[in-house]
This record gives sequence, C-alpha cells and structure tokens, in this order.
Amino acid sequence: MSGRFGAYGGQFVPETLMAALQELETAYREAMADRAFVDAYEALLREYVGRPTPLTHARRLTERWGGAQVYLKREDLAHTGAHKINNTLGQALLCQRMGKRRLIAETGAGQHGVAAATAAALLGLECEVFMGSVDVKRQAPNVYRMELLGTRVQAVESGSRTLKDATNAALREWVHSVRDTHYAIGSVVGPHPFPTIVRDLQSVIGREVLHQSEAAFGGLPQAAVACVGGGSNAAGLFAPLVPTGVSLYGVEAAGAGLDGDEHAATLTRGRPGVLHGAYSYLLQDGEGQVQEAYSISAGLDYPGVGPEHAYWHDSGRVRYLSATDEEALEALHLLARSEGIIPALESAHALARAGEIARALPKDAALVVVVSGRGDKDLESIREREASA
Amino acid sequence: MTRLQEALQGLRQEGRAALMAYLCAGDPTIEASVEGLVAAAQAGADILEIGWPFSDPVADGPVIQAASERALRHTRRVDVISAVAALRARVAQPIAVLSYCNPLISSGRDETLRELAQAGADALVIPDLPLEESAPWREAAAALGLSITPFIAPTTDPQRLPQIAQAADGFVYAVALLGVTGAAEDKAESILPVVAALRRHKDVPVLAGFGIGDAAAAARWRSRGLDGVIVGSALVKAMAQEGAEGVRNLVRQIRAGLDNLG
Repeated sequence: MSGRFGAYGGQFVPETLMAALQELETAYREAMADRAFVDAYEALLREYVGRPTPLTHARRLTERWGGAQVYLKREDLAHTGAHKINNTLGQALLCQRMGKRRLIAETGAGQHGVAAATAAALLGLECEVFMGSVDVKRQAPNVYRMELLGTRVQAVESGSRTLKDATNAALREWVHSVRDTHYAIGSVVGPHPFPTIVRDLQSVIGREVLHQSEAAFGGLPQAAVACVGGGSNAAGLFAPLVPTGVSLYGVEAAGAGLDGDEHAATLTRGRPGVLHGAYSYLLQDGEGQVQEAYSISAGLDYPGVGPEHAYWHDSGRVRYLSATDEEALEALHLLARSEGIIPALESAHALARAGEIARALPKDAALVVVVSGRGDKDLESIREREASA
Repeated sequence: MTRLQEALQGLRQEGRAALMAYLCAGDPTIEASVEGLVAAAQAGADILEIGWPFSDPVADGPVIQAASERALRHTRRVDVISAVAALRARVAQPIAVLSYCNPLISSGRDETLRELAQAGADALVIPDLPLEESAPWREAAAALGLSITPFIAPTTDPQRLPQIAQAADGFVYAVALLGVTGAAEDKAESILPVVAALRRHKDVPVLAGFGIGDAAAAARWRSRGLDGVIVGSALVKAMAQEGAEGVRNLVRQIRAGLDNLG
C-alpha cells in the first residue's frame, strides 16, 4: 500500500502513532489475504447488516425528471440505517484480530458513533465515542442510542465543539491508549492506511451496484452520484466504478451558499493542506488555520475531505458539485412524496443534483443515486427549521 | 557548526543539562510572549521554543490548546515571524519554532522556512511531521541552515531508529509519555529503552519533553541520563498566572533542579 493518492494522503501524525499505523496496515493486509477473516466479514454483512441492499428503480422520480432511469442504492436499509456499519464491522473485526480490546471513534451527527457502538456490542468490545458538545445537544437521540448499546459518549468541549474537534479528541485519546485501543475512524479521512481501509470496506456499495445494474438493466449505468462530506459512501461507490466509463459525481454541502463562509464545500472552495493526519483539500483561512464548516446536515459538516477524493477531483475522474441546505430539503421532500423514502439530509444532497444529471441523459440511460442513510435522525431538526421558517 | 549544535556541544562539555523553554506566540500578546521567553533565557533556559498557534493542535493537552485558542484571536502569520525576529534581537540562545504542518505550508513551505530562518530561527519542531514525511522538509531546511527535530516515542519501532538518528542534526525530541503535552509524568519510564537503543546508532543529544513541569521532574529525567528537558505546559500556565516573572521563577527553579544534580 502506498498511502498516497497522487500528491494527497500520507501520515502526518505524532510519532507516538506511527507504530500503530504500521501495525494496522500489516494486520489489514494479512486479514484481507485470510479467507476466514473475509468470510467472517462477508457473513456479518449478509446476516447482520442485511446486505446486499436493494437497487430500487425510482419510477415516479424518473417520470418527473424526464431523463435517465433513476435507480436508488438503498444504504438506508442497512442495519443502523446508514452505510457506516459496513466500515465499523470491518474495523471492529480488525481490532479483535490485533488483540485490542477497546474501540474508540469520533462522531458528528452520531451515525458513525452508533455504527461503532453497534459493532462493539456485537463483538464484545469496549467502546468510547467522542462527540462535540454542540452535537451532543443537537443529536440527543443518537447519544441515547449509543448509551443503550453500552458505549460511553465523551462530550468534547474544545475548539468548535463539533466533528473536527471530536476527531482531534479521538486522536489525542488514541495517542494515550494506543497499546490496547483501535481508533475506528468513520470516513475515508485520516492518516494512511485509514483512507484505503475505509474505502475498501465501503466498496461493497459499488460492487453491488455493478452486479445489480447488470441484473436490472443489463449493463453499466451512464452515471452515478453520491454525497461527499469526508466521502466514505461516495468512495465506496466510486472505487469499483473508476476503471469503467461511468460518469461519476460527488455532491458537497453548499450550506447557506458558496459565496459566504457557511458551507462545507471543501473540494469546491478549499485548498490543499494537512488536517487529521492527511494532506488533502481543506477549508482554511489564508494562513493555514482550519475553518469551521457549516451544513444543515451534521454528517457533511466537516472542513476536510478524503485524500482520494482530492486526487479524483484534480485528475477530473469525478466531478464535484454542491447543493445548498434549501436544495437538499427540497430533494428530501421530493423523494418522500414521490417514492415513499425519507432520506438522510446527507443523501438528500446527492438527490438535489441528481435531477439535472438525469435530465441531461437520454431515457434509455440509467443513473444510480446512493441513498446513504435514512432520514429518521433528521426529522426533529427539519421540523423545527420548517416551523420557524 | 550551527548555533544549536554549538550550544548543545558546549553544554555537554560543561556537563550541564539543556533546558528548552516553550511559550505560545501571542499568548496573551506577541510582546508579552517575547518578554516571557527573554525572561526564560535570563533565568537559564538554553533553547527557546516559540509556538505557532494552530486551530487543531492534536499533540497538545488542554493547557497549550487553550493558549493556542487565546493567541489565535489576534495572532497572524506576520506576528509569529516578527516575534522570532524580536526574540533573536534580544537573546543569544538558539530559537526553535514549534508549528504543526499546515501553517507552515499554507503560504508555501519553502518561503515560510526562509522567512523563519531570516528572522533568526535555528530549528523547527513539527509534531505532526514524522520521519517518513520529512524528507522534502529536511532538504529545504538544510539549505537554510535550519534543523528539523526528529521525535522518538515509547512506541517507536526500533527498526526506524537508525534513520531517526541519521536525521538528527541538532537534538532528538523524546516524547516522555504516551499522551499529549501536559499529561501526568510517566512513572514507567517507557521511553528509556528507546533512548538507549537510539544512542547505540548515534551519540546524539536527546531532550525529553511532555509532562515535565517542575524542578523535581527535570532532575529525575536528568538522572535518567537524558541530555536535557523541554518544559511547555507548566510555563504556559505560569505565564497565564504571573506573566514573565512567573516564567522567570519557574525556569530558575528548574535550572537549579537540573544543575544541583552535578
């Protein structure tokens, strides 16, 4: 494993963590070559997560948009309600394999925290999740879910008290407890080998899309689209499709608009720098201080992005677009009313740009949109926002 | 020989331990932080370490995080570089600049290193730049006469020690505990076998930092055979409570703790 995606990636971490990253890379390489490990992981995906998740033909949405046939990749139907579980089960198995008894994780909205807590409960690991104190208040139901699953939730009071600082706190805790603890990072971010491991574990999304496309319409889709915060569901979709001719689109959060400071459009508006162990695009001021991101969607509210996305961005293999809070909300309503599916606010960003992509394609083409999670977690904040509007 | 190498060699010849004193630039003001480091120099610090405040200091504990946050309210890039120049004008000791990678690369790495060297810096301490990422940095720094300080930690793989020893052109920074700056001292002394193994490859000065905050702790680390100690969080705290005089007093105590050992 090279650990670099073009110029991006690397291992910009304190010396104390270097041994753990090496240990993780070795353990991961050996695990992937070990049939028993891969079988155990795939069995969990089948029998516990409920994979493969369906590829749903969205007929009314297709009709409304009047372009390509729209297919939804239903990660919202995975156990815990999002794609995050694909990653945490794999990393929890790795944790066990390395003989470590404890898992730590960072979380923003709480989806990765819940998925980590779930995997830890299933495999009998101790688990602690770091969450900014602002998010602890905003996402109280997910805090309770984690606690029900036997996880300790640490409210982080430093910096912006959101995902960026939760990640700092998890890294600091890992420096302290690295000998018996595995840090299960939640996206394709962080130092090598995390971006590669998380991409590989999420690639089940793209591989299933390839098989299911063949079965549903006898070939490849013309285009595929996913939302991008750190970028794990998008990387999982893209990785198996990059070698094909499928047009790929990532959608970042434009928040209140790209002209101001209130957005999380890292690839669209940021520039390269080092955060959380990797060289990638960053939202930062002119002097290298990292800025706070903003999005209605807590899962996209992150000032960094996975280094492989930075590489795909620069190489032009993937086009990165953005959608505002308002556009995402509109798309959420549209999917709810036209297909009976309430997507997560994160996924609604992908849907917000999918209409234009579909309309630009002929009716016999196919467009795959990843619904990365279900919207239950967002209902309260949407209701509040719409009541006050 | 560089100013840093001369200072370390001189201390060794005198049989004295090195004391590196850290304060964060701009905490509470640029002038006050320079004043604090001048006081540290006058009270017996051998190397002055000035911190470049950063939004995401992952190797730092709560004390230095808070100092960094306070400083960032008003401290800009130009202020940090001018603080180095102001300090250079007032002290003869070597100056190390502690910064995370991102502020250094934001305006172009080579340009920023050049400005720091011109301002009078002698070394860089970059907590998120491990050896494996450091080659292009070392090349750029060497051309400017700047040293980039390599780290060892209790977890460092012995196989990496030859390259770490090779890279050291000033001193090696030994992270004295598993944790962040300002944490409780490591009673298990788990860094010592790593220091011993490093020295089998090259006889290079090794300074211990993290969790060393008073005369007794400094004396303990000296008696364990380290070439010196680095004190950060405790001085930041002294600065916040009593200003430059607080720094002066604490450095004087630690100096005495190191010297009385003989």
